[in-house]
Amino acid sequence: MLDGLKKKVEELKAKQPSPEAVKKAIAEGQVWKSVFRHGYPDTPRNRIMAVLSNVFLHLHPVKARHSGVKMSYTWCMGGLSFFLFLNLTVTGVLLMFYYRPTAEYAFYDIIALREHVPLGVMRELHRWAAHAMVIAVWLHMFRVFMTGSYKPPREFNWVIGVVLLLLTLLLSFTGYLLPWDQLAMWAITVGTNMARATPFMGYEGPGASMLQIGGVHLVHGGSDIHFALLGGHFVSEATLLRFYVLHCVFIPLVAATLMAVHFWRVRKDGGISGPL
Amino acid sequence: MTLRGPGIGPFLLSVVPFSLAATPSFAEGEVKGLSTVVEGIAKAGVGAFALLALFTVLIVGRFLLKTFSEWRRSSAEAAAHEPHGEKPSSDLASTLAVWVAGIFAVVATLCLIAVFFMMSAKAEPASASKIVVLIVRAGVTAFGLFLLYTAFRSVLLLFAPKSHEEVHADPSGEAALNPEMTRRSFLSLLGWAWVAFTAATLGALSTCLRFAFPNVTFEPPSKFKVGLPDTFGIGVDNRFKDQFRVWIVRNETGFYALSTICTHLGCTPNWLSGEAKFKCPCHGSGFYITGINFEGPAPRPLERFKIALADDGQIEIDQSLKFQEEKGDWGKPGSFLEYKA
Repeated sequence: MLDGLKKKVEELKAKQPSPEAVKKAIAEGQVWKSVFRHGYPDTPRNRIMAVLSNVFLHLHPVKARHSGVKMSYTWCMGGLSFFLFLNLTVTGVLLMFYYRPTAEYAFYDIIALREHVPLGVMRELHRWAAHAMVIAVWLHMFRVFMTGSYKPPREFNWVIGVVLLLLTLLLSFTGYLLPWDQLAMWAITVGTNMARATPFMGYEGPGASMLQIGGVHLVHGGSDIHFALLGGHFVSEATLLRFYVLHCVFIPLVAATLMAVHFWRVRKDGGISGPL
Repeated sequence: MTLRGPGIGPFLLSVVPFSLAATPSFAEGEVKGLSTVVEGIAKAGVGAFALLALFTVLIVGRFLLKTFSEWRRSSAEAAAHEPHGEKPSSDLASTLAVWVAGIFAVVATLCLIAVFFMMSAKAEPASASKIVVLIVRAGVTAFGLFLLYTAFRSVLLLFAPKSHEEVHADPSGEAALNPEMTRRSFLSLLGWAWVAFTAATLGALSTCLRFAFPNVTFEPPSKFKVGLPDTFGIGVDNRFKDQFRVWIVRNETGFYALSTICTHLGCTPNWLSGEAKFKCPCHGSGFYITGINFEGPAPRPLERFKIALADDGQIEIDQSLKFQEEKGDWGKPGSFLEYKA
């Protein structure tokens, strides 16, 4: 009987496919091919295909320079900025489930986010990630400047980077109003007063008084860029809603689009710059 | 069909009436400011968009005509092979062309009427000047319609298929389309289409920009009454600070209305009666009861609003009129209301 069992085990072992055969069967099966469009990435060609045929990976270079992944050189500040952006997107969308951008509810919803909502830390995560992102973006810019990575052929990507820095600051600024407390009100009041001095478009700006037809001023307190930004003459409920939409929809969409261009350009301009 | 149209020119000229109709009419006193200018651009863009839509219809119509003429040629060839085959009694291509032209005209009219209504629909009572403006706009729109009709006709003729005889003379179909449609003229047409597309895009963007200027704000009125003079005591009245952002100050000789907006960065100072000064909590600017700045970063005194007695004897404040001390406005009438009990 024991001999019979041993024989059976031997027979089963002979039937068992080798690991290579399993690997081959999977990598050449229809399911794998429909998703990945290339063989198992164990050859140089398939490894390159793995990156090129993936929408998320294709923004990255196929090969990275050794110096490009050196923390002491890059500080990983660009990567951290992007990580924080993703973090802010996730926590921000979650906060939108509870926050109502009206003068009646906004302040109490912020309190409720801490006191009543599950995982009351979500708003703190959003807030601290926002502060961290502003710092990370500045440090990223500092690193790029100090290593001379803005030089040709990367000039245009520096320009996109400056716009992204501006968008980060605008996201920070628009988000500052949403708690709707005294600090928010007056910070935005003071901040948006600058818009009144915009050349030609702000009613206190240079050139605004020149824009008139038949003695009628085109740019005045009731119709200038400050008015359009606030949706009124001063920070009010209209401003709250306006900044909410800018903060949650408009600026993130523009920033995400420019980030895609930024990353893609890093790759197209020869990857992360190396030490000189 | 040897008719020839005047080309694409009138078609493009029809942009002019659109732009004219879109121009804000200053005589009406409608000029509100930057928003009016943006609105004008947006309306011109809407006109360009209507043109673009019609242009697309034309291109599609041309394709349909081409397909139809090819079908017709092949059927004519088939008929030619049959010795007793009946000849087509009427020129089907011409009939179709007339129908397509008719459809174009209807679509164009609808587009123009829509644009016209967009421009003239205002929920305001009619007045003589407004009726005149409406008539002018209707005339401009009618002129645009006429130009558009001319343009459609010409473009249609440019693309029209050849006659039965001409098709027979060219059975290979090389010249099935009007020979005037050369590579150069096609590219030129494409260029104008691109211009129209750009104009439409700019117009659409201007529409978004115009959308940012609200027509109605839910803010307190800039002109309001605060009560009879005798209800005010000597000193600073804080009652209208929250709603109207104004302090009514009374002294021995009369009244003045001080703006509560700090001249440094726009915060709201507080009246400290013990120290007899306005103190801004943001950066520490201080103002005397007159509004003159004396400490902190504020560069100039607080502004005053126009103050006067209304017909019913109440004090009336008009915040649309400001008086600035550094411009010497505080001596002007309206900046101070003389009143003795």
